[in-house]
Amino acid sequence: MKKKFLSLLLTGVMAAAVLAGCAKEETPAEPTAEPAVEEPAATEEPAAETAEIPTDYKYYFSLDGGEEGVHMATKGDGATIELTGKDPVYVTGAKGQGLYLDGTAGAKLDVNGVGDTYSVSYWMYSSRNAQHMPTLQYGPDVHGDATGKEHWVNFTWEPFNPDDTTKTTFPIVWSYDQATGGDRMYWYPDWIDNRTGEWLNITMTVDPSEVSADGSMIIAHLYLNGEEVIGTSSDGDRPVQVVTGTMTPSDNFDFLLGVNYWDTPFKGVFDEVYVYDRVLTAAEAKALFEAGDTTAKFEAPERVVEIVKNEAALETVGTDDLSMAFWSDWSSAIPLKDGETKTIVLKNYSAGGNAYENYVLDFTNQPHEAHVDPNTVEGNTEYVVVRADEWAWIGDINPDSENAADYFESTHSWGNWPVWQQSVMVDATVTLKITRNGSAINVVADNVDYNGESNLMTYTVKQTALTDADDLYVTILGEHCYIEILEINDPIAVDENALSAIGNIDLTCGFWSDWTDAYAIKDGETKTIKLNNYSTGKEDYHNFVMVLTNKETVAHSAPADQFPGEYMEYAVVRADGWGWGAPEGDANAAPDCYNIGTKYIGDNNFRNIMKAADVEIVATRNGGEVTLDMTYTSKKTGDSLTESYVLKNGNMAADSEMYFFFTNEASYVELLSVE
Amino acid sequence: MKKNKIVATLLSVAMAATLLVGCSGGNGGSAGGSTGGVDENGVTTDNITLTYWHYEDETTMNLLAEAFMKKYPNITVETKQITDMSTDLSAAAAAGNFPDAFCATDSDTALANMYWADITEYVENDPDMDQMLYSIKNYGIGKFDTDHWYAMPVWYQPSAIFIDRNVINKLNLEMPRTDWTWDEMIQLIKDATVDDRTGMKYYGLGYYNRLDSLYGIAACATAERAIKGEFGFDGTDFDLRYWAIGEEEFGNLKVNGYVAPQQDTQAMEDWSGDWGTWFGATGHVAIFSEGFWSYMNLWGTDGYQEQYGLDIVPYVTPNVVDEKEHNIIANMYMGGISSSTEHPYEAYLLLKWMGIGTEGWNARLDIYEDESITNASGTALKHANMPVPMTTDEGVWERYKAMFPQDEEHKMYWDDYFASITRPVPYGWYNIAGYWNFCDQYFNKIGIHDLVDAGTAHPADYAAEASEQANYYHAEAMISYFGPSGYDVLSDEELATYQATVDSFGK
Repeated sequence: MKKKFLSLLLTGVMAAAVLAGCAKEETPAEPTAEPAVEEPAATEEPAAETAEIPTDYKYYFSLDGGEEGVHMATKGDGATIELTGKDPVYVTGAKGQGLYLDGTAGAKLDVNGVGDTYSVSYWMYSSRNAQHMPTLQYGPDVHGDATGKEHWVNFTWEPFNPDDTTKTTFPIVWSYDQATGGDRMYWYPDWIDNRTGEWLNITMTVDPSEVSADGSMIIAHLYLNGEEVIGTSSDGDRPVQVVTGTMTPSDNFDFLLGVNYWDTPFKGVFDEVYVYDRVLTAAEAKALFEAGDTTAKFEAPERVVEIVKNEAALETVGTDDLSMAFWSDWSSAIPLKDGETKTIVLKNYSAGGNAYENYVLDFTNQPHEAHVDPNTVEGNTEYVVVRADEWAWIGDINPDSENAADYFESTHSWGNWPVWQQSVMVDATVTLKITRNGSAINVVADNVDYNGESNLMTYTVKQTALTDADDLYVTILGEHCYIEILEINDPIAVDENALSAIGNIDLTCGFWSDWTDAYAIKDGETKTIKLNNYSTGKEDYHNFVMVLTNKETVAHSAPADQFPGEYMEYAVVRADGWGWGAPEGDANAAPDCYNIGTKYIGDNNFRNIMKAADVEIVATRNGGEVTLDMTYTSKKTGDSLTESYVLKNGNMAADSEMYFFFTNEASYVELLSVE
Repeated sequence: MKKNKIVATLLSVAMAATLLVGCSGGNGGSAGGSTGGVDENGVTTDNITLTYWHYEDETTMNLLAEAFMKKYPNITVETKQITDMSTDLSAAAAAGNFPDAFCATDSDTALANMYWADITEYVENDPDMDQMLYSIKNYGIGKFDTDHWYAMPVWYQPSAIFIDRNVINKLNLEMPRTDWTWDEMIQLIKDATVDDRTGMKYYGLGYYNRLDSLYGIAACATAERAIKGEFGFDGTDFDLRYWAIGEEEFGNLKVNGYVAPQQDTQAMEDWSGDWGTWFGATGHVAIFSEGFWSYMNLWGTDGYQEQYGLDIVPYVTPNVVDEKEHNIIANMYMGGISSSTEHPYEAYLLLKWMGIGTEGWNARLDIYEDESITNASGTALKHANMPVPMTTDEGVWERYKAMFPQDEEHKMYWDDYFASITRPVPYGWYNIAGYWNFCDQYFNKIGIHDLVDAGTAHPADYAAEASEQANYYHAEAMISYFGPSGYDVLSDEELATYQATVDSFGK
C-alpha cells in the first residue's frame, strides 16, 4: 500500500525566509579574488541569423509531461544507474513545462547514438552545482559495463580554469574514451562562474571531419544561449574538443540528465532536449535558444512523500495515514541489559507538523507485547522518555528530577529545525544506538533523510532511580507519525572460546590496529578457517582482512615490528573482494588481479550479511599459489555469499615460509578455528 | 653596503654546473655581451634578463617587477605565474629555459631535484635580512634543518581566527580577550552554538582550516616541546600526539553540531536554504578558522559586511598555554634562486625584492595603496591575496596596517592581531623535507579526518605509528636531499642520526 502526502514546507521557501537578501551572491572562501565573470566570447564569425528550429531531429523531448522514454533514475550502490519507476515531476520550464530533478535522482532518456556526426541541445536551470555533477552525460558505454572502457561526454562543473582552480565553472565539456588510453579531455570557457540560478540553453555540434591538429580529437562547436563560445581545451587549444565516437549507437548507450554513475545528482530543471544526426548551423542553434524563455520563473514543486510499506518490517507503530495520537500505539518492549548497546533501525514517516510528532523512546522496567500500553502492565515504572526532537524527561520516581541540568546532556548536528521537522523527518531512516551504563541511558540517533544526509542527535539521561540490578526495556511510540521497525540488532555475543579476537565490539577500531596470531600453511596443505565477523555495515571494508606473510607473528602486536627488516607481506585480501601486495612490477601488481570471485564494492546485501556473519575460508596452497574460497553466511537470515581469490606473486615460491593472520577495520572478528 | 658578490657567484655557478646539467641556464644572458662589470654594490652593470616564476597575482607581480627594473635599469625581469610546479619546472629544465628564481608550493620538488641553489652566503651577509620575522630568522625557515639557506619565504599569510562581533552581540556573549587561549576559543565555540528551533541555528565555528592543523603548533609551551612545524615537529622529529588531541577535539565539535556546514553540501542547503552559500556570509557563525585572505578578498571589500550583516574582527590563533608570544601556523611560499642561473646575485636580489625584503615591500605598498590599480578581474590589488610583511621594518608595518580598518572600534583588534603574528611557522609542505611524501604515501591514505569526523576512530590510536612514519619520511628525505647524493651538506653525525631513523623504521 502506498500513501502520499505533501511535505509542509519547502526548502525553496526556506531559502526565501531565512536568507532574504543574501542568497544570490557566491561567496567562496578560497584564497583568491572575486572571480572574473565575463560574457561568453563570441566567435569572429558574423552574427548568425535566426532560423526555425529544425524538425529533422532524431530525438526530441519537450519534457512537458506525458512523454514516453523519460525514466527517473538514481545512482545506485556500486556505480550503477537504477531506474526508480517513479513518475517524473514537471514544473515551469524554459518552454512550457520542464522536468524537475530534486537532487536525489536524474532521468535516463530513451536515446541511442545517432552516429559520429551529431548535435545535441537542451535547456537547464540548476539550483546548485558541484564538481563533476552531470547535466547531460551520454555515450556508448558511459560506465564501461559493456566494453570495460568508459566512453562518454559530460557537460558539468569543474575548477579547470587555471585563472582560479578553486572555483567551479559551467559549462565544462568533459569527454573520455578509455579505450584509447588517453586522458579525460576537457574544455573550459573563459569565465569563472558556476552559472547556477539561470536558464541556459546548451547546444553542441560535432562533425568528425573537423579534427584537432594531431587528429585525435574532434573539434566541436558549443553554443551557450545561442552564441558560440570558444574557451580552451585541456591541451591548450582553443576550441571545444571531444573524443571520437561519443554518439556511436550501442546496446549500452546512456543518455542521462542530471545523474551519472558516480557523482552528486543535479537539482533543477531540464527542458527541450533535441538530438540530431547532423551539424546544426549557428542560426539553428540560435533558434533553439530563442524558442525558450530565460525569464521563466523557477519554482521547486512541493515534495511528495510516498509511504511504501515495508512488508519485512519487524513491527509497525501507528498507521500510514499519520493519524496516530500520542500514547496510542506502542512497539513491543525491547530489553536492554546493563552495559549493553542495542542498535535499532526504523523508518519514520511524519507529517512534519510539529517537531515532536516523530518517534519517541520510552524506557520502562516491564516487558510487554506490541500495541500494549506499558501503563497497563502491572508494576510498570517509567524511567526515562527521549523524543526524536532532542527532548527528554525522567519519570516522577526521581526526586531530583527538577534539577534537569544534572541529568540531561544532548547535542544535535542539524542546523535548521524547520527543515529537520518538515523535510528530514517526514521520510527518515533512523539508526538508534542505545546504550545503558548503570543509571545512564545514552541514545545516539542518526536520522538519515531522503538525500542520504545524516542528522545526528545524541542524548544522555542519567536516571538515579535506575540501578544496575533493574530490568530495563525500551518501547517505541510516536505521535502523528508512522514507524516501521526494520532491525533490532542484539549486541555482539562474545565467544569466550575463540582462538583470538581482534577489534572491539563497538566496531570503531582503525585499520591495521589489531592482529590475530599467524598460522602456517605449507605447500600442498588445505586449511579451513572459521571466523565470526561483526561489522558496522557502513563500508565494504569494515570487515576482516586476511594477510599472507613470511613470518609467524603473534597476536595484538604490529607484525612488522616483530621481525624488523625480515617481515614481508605476500598478499592482503579484504572480505569485499579487494586486495593488494604483489611486488611492484609483478604482473599481478594490480590489486584486483587477485580476485576471481565477485567484488562486493557498494553491495548492500554484502554489507548486511557481514554485519554478523559466519565466515568459512578454505585456503589451499599449491607451491607458490594460494587459493581462497570464502563463504559468508548471515547469522540472522542464513543468506550466503561466496568470494574466491587466487594469490601468487614472485615472492611466493614453493619453498617459501608462508603464514596467514587476520586484521580488520571498524569490526569485531573472532578467529574460531584453523583446521 | 657592499655585497659579498664574489663568494656567492662562485658558489652558485658551481652548483649550476652540477645540478642542472642539460639546462642552458635561465633565460638570462646578457644582451649585448657580458663585460663582467659590477657597480659599487656588486650588481652587474651588464644588460641582463631575469625570469621570476611565482604564484601571486600577475598584475601585482608585474608592477613589482617594473619597480625592480626601475631601480636596476640594466636588468629586465620577466615573470610567469606557475600553473603546476612540478610540470612547469621539469618542462623548463628539459627545454633549457629554467627560471632564475622561482617560488614553490611544496619544497620537496625543488629540493629533490636540487633546483635551488645554496644562498647561505647571500643571506647571512645581507644586513637587510636581519629584519626578518623572529621565527624565520631563528628557526631558519628556508634552511630545511641544515646549516644552509636554500630558500627564503616569499609570500606569507598567517592563520587567523575571525570573530563576527554581531553574532556575539546577538547571542549576548562577551568578546574574548585578544590574547585568548585555546580553551577559551573552544568554550566560545560551544557557547555561541545556539539553536532556538525557529530557523537557522547559530554555529560556533565555521572552518576553512581544520582546528587540528592549528593545534599542532599551539599544543604546548615551548618549554615542553619547542614545536616549530606541523605535527609537533621540533626540527628533529615529529610527535603526532599533539596533533591527535586537536584532531579529536575538532572531530567532537563536528559530530556534536558545533561546526557550520561547508559550501556546496546538502547540509548547507538544509541549514541556509542555499546549496552554494558560504557560512561566512550567513551572519549565523561566530568564529571562523579562515584563511587570512578571506578578510581582504571578501569581508574587507566594499559593502560586503554591510550586505550580510557582519562585523568581522581578527584574533590570533590561540595557544594552549597562556603565552603572550607564541608560534602560529602560516601559509608561506618558499622561493629560491635557480641552481642554473647565470646571475645568482641579481637573482637573489630579485627574489628578496619580490618577497621578504623591506625595499621590495615598500614597492609593494606603493602598488597596494593605489586602489585605482586593478587586476584582470577588476579587483584592487590589496584585495587579491595580499600577503603579510615578513620584515619587521616599522615603516612597512605602519603603511601595511593603515590598509586595514582604522576606526576606533576595530583598529585595536587589528593592532593586537598584527602584534601577535611575528612567529609564523609554515605548514609542513613548505619547509619540512619529506613532509609531502609522508602525506602522500601514508597520512592521506588512512583517511583519518573522515574517520574521526564520523566518530568511528580515535586519532590517538594512530599517533605513534603516524609519528614513526613521519620521522621515517623526513629522515629519508633529509638523506636524499642533503646527503652525499644531494646537496651533500650533512655532517657524518647528522647522516648517522637520520640513517638510524630510517633503519629503525618498522622495527
